[in-house]
Amino acid sequence: MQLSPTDYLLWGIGLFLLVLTGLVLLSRHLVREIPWFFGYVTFQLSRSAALLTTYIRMSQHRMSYADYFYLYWLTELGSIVLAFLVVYGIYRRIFSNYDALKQLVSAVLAGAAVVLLVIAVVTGATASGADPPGIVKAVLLLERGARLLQCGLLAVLFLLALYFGLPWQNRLFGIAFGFGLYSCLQLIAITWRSLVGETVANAYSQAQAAAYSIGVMIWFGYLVAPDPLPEHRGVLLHDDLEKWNRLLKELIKQ
Amino acid sequence: MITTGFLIALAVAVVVILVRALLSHHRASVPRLEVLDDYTRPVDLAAFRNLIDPAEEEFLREHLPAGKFHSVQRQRLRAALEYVERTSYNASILLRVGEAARRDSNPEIAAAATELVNHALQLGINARLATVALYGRILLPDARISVGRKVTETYEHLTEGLVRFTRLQDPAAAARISAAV
Repeated sequence: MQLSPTDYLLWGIGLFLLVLTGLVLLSRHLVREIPWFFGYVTFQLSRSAALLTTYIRMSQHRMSYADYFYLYWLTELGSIVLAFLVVYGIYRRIFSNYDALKQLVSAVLAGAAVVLLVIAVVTGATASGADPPGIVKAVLLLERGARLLQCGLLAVLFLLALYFGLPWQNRLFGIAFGFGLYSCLQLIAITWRSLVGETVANAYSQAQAAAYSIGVMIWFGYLVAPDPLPEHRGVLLHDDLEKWNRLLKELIKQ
Repeated sequence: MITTGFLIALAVAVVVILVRALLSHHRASVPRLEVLDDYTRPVDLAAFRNLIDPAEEEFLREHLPAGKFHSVQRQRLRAALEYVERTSYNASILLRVGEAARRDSNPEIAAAATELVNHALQLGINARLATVALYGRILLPDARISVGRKVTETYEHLTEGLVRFTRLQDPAAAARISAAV
């Protein structure tokens, strides 16, 4: 396994932006507000460090490719589970405040999850693909199913918010949007990789890294952008206006 | 191959939804309370009630020939549909106004805003259900299904909530704003 300069560049961009995202979360005291997302970012950073260390040791022949392979896929599984927690956290943040919607959204979410799970299982069971049966094929099918589920749940989230005209907090929208786009691009890439097979493994890996960098770029952009929604733009209270007038009059008298 | 096509189509469809959400997110603005009546559409609740009143419908059914009744009833249902659309539109505006005020430092305003948001959401759901039912009734004007009562009830709750919310912030404007919805 040999990484090309393009691989290093794509991986480096994603990692650099992720570090910045983590720093923004810390410096703006957003850890308590969106803990599941901070957990995801921390996990991804630790994962990158572990994979890089393993890769360096592998190139020094102190670790085998199998070590890297298992570490990669195990942490990928952890990353997918955490991503689901982030999606669930976003659902809770958006809908928990709306008493009128709580029950309806829970029912729609449960229904969508079941339907998507069935689709994932059926498409997995009927998949032919170019890879021979084995661990690579199984892992790719599993990841494809997970991405399908993630993509679908985020689509349902956006559709519900659009349908009810719910306003979003900027950063929450950015996190969901970044995850949504990343999951869709991943789903397209993995479907293509499963269809064509090992010959496009390198291009697939680069597409994955590019999709990830786009997702992180979106998170970072929305986290640093100002949030226009929570500001209350109501009118001034008359009492306040009178108080200000009085103060102004006093000021003029002086 | 079918699976591949299906999955790619699904992913592309989700990207389209995301783009739609992105556009909607950046277009949405919160109207200021003092100019709220520039954004909302007035709803004549008494006229709306009359249009969906089963007794009124029964009276028309008894006094008009069947063909004429169908034609008149369809016109009334279309007018009712217009009112439902207006209530739904106003609910979407008031939802944004309420949502922006939910974090107000004054607990009374925050509570009134939360109430406004919940009424707006409930109205949104009722209005969508009523729209489907009204289209059904336009197709079958003879069907005796009561439509729209929940919309008028929740709309009343919403306007009461709006009055409470406005009184807390701009008492002088409360009457004007409530007249505008």
